[in-house]
Amino acid sequence: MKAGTRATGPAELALEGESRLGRALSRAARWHGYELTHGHELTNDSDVTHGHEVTDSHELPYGTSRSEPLPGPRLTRRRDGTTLASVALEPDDTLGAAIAEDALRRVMRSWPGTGPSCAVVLAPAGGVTGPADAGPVDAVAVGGHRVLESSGAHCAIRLLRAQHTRCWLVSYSCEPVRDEWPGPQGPDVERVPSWVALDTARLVEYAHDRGLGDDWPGLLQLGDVQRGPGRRAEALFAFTEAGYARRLVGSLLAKTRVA
Amino acid sequence: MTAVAVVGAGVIGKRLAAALSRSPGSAPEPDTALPYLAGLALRGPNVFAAARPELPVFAVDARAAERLRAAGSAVKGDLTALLESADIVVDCGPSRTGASRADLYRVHGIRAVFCGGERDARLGPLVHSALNPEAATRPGGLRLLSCNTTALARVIAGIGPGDIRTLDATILRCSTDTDKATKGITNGAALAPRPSHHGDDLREVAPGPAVRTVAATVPMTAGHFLHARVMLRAGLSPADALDRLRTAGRVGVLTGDGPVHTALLKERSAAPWHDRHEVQIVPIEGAAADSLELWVSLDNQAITIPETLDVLQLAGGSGPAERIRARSDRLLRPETPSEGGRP
Repeated sequence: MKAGTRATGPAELALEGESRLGRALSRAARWHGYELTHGHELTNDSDVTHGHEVTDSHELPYGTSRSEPLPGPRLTRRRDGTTLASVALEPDDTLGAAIAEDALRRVMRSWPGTGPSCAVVLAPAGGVTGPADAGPVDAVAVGGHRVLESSGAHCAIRLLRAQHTRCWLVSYSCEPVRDEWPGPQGPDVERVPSWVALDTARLVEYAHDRGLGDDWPGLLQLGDVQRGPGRRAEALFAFTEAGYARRLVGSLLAKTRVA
Repeated sequence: MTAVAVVGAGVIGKRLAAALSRSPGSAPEPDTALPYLAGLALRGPNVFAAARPELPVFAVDARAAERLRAAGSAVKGDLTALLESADIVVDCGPSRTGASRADLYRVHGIRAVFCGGERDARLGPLVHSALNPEAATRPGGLRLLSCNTTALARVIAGIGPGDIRTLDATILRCSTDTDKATKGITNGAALAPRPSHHGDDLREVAPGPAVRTVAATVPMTAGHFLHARVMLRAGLSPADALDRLRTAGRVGVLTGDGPVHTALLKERSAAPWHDRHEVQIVPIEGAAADSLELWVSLDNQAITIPETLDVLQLAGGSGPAERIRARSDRLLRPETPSEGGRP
């Protein structure tokens, strides 16, 4: 049965196949008012939307396109045992890059009016992926370099992975077109006082103290924007997988609502 | 009703303050047996106080008041005012600093309970609500057990102190807490050359078994763990001892064949801060016929909170220890389990 077919039972969300995003998706589904079930077999349903189709076509994750087959895990919405719609999930080995790029897009949206920018993302070796079982131990793993394009703006990204588990960090550097250009703004960004944001231990504990648990979906800006040289400005943000996971679940729900 | 002053909002103080602030003892129609938060005394700006501005904050001195206000915290008064409004004080200051405040508590005539880590016996006897609850009902100060000692005390209480001949434990403790990045070693393990304090402390609350403990410190924050070998009295089989642990309070015996990852144990807890109030035990197969061999995993921040609540009620004369323990557990149980959630 395809989307739009009449069905009467309660709709359910299911994770088909294995994904290291599973626990974050469970929490995201709960946030949307659903319990995510796990362990369903993959189907051959052709009505599958890639997880990033909600973004512009030029913002598809690296190495993917809509014409490619869609193997691997997926998030589905079902009713009466029939899949209404699906969202394919990023494979585990490229999941980190997808989460980082999703966050960078939010940073870029919150801080428009800048020229080319660059960012260094420090990914947790344990976090969305659970406790790391293959390091890095007492080291930083150097990931790839890529250029992200979002709404006409470009950002060069370097992805690093470190032995910590609490959150993701991104140092974002750009050149605002005017000296007095404001820093990042919008509902997706919250500035945390410098005395709280001395390190990610205090920062994440602060989120727990406020009752946010692991699921703060926005960007926490650590202290003030740093200026110079010239018009160059830099800000440090922390984020979790929650925003990415909630958008995936939201895109699936929106798809079935449209249908 | 027992009004509790909490001094310090580190990893223990803030958990205690959070529990006391949601205690029905402070509700419009309160359960009068439950203690409630009178206030939280701080030495300066504090992340928890910034995150929970609705809690009543008091400054330990004028300088602290100034710094707290500068950081945006509302200050209700000074420590003297807090002590005068409370029935009992729980000192959750930095380890081994409680003695420096003991005289102040004495001057105010307020009973003081010192959190784990205080070695000075003049502050009062060590107390554990299942092993020597009577100590809490006598007047004077009290010292609570440290986190690892609390875990081992639950093992002893669960099996029964009279049925344990010896307990040998090797403790691997976190070099820092979840809220502190700039403390502790970053690689390797620091090996203590002498037996740790836990054995001495356990002998004070449970004099029967011969206890020996050693400890090492490793760089992690997912909770302490330890290896324990328990030699049983003749007549108690390891299977029966394990069954006792399965039914013991605040003890969870894990099953399964695969390895247990302590970071996952912590992550899977639905309580605020991923707290684990239970001690989690992994039985190790192949022990000698008269002994139990166990991995014991514990939350170094949260595990002492249930016993702290017990002792506050025992000190306030709120009924038999068993009923008090059940009441503490109910208070800490999340009404609706969720990942995260308001502390």
